[in-house]
Amino acid sequence: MFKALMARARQGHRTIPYPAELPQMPPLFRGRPVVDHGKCAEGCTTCRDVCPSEAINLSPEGLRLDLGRCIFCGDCAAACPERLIRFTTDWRLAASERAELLVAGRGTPHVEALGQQLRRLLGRSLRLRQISAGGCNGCEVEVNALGNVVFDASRFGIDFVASPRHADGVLITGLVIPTEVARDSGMISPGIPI
Amino acid sequence: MTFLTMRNAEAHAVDVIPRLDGPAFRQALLSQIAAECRLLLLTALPKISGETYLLGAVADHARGNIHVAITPIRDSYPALTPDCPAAHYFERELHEQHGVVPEGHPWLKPVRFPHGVRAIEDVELFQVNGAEVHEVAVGPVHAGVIEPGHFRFNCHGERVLHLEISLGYQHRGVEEALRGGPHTRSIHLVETVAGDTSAGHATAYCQLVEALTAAGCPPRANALRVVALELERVANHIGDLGALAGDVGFLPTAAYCGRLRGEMLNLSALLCGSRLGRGWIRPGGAAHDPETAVVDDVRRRLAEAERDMRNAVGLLWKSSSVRARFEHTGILDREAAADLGIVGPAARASGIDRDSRRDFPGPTYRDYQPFVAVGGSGDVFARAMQRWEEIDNSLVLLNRVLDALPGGETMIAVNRPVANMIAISAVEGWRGEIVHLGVTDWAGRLSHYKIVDPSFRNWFGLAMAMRNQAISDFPLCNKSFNLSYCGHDL
Repeated sequence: MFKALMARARQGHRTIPYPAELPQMPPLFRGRPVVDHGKCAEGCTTCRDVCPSEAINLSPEGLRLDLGRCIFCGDCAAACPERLIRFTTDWRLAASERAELLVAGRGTPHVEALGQQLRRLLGRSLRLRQISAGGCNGCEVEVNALGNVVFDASRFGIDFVASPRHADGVLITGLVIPTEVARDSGMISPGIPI
Repeated sequence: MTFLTMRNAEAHAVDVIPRLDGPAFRQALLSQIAAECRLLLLTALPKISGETYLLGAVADHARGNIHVAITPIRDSYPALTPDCPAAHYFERELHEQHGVVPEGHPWLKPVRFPHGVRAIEDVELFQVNGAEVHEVAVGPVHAGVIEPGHFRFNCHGERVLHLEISLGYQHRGVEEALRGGPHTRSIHLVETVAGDTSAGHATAYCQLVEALTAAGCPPRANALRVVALELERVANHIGDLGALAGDVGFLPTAAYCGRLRGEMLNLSALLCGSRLGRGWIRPGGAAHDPETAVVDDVRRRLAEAERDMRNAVGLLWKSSSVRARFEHTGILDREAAADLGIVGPAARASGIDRDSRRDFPGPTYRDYQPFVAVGGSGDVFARAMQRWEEIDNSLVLLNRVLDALPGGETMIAVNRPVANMIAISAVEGWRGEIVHLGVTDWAGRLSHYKIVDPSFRNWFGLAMAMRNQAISDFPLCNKSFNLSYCGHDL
């Protein structure tokens, strides 16, 4: 018991002071990309050619990066001869609409906080069910890390629960298999709209 | 000559692999296995002049050699499994992928249910019969934030007589997607074979491609790969020690280790921008070259984390309630582990003195030999202690590498692979040995790509460890192995 208390004193308080202070990401972190719009060299397709996930669209209007497809590998930024694509350390990447994930230029505004009505409905509790849909377990290990003493997501009322029946929403990770497949395999209960 | 003898990540012409007839192939493999070698893999090669060939590889740990031979197979051949249990999973895979029947195999149960061949629910599981025997089904969808997989316990009261494991729910077709490469997607696919082993699979792939292209890896990049691999090992081991503590309700260590795992991941993020070590290891070297100030920062933070790890994990060994739960739980004995071809810390905890970093160092570990810890009792305690000793040894190795990081470039250009070559690349990942095999066609494209994640071999080890255990000890036994679903399912 005494040893456990000594260890407790030694290990200290480790929860990050978010949201009072925003965490600083390491300089190499690849967060929200910024595209220097419209300066591409004539006919250059280097970024699109190296992109592993077909996230880059080159049209007469310029370069457009689709964060819905991007895996944040940074290969395009490294390959661009004009250095027109840059990954910033901004980690706030949430969006409420599919269209907000299309980056052209300085990026899109951050997602807005939930409206009054939803906040009244949810109170101080947001229960999520995570669904693994053919990913690599990378998202799962990081979602689990949200529960550790550093992030401690439950202090904001956010918890991951055992069934969609207990949940206010779902978090889908992975390549996303079709909804029908998810239903058939019991990952999502029939009748629960997603 | 019976075999082509190769070293880890060394390319040879496909033509020089001896083509044996069925009985000679079988005899050759079994005599090597009888002589302290280990079955490395079995895989069917793409057709050579209209025939399908079965490639067998055995690993000679004492000499660091890999012996390879091929034999033509048609509809069936006498199974190796009755004489070499470690072949059981490979032969099931072979049957599932190619329809070949290994005659005499005890049970050709599906492995991954590739799309369209067979419905995943359509699986027969082993059943124990008896008036008081009951079954408990768990999954495929689990309560926690975990990947899907089905477990079926055959129980007598609380006692588990046998555990059936049926996977394949995360099958994405990684091997198929790698064929025809290398292309822009290849490295990203291997980094996500098992998301918690990005450095392990990326290194295995890069070693392989560098062998097939006759390129090298600059010494500085090579040292950085060792750093990436060892950080990954420490992060996962310390995380699992915390999770084991949590599973027996010992919360102090569970809380501290969760944080310390994150510290290790953050060191990877400092060096490459990704907590999971993505975008770092690339064919031809390493994509990020840290400045001296960053290396110094890593060393300082590593030393701090090491002190906290000793403190947090020390509590675990001193707590009699923890030891009581860990000891004699989930025993995998040495004989079963050896027969089944179990790898990694799980094998070493059962007393098998094998570590690919030492036995098959390849280009990556040639200059960075670790000290290899070996346990013996094969229970949860042994696997937990094994993790801790491997952390300890990895920290020594990490400090050694960071203290004398070679200078020079970190990336060299890589050409297309040479035509008609074969290479096998083995890397000791944190879960155990990762094996990648690549064969190039006449145009230098990868005509065959085979991945063996350690989980592929070790899931059956978990099933064996659960025999005669209380069903309530399953989470603890499971965590002591902590195997990958997606690494198995590919």
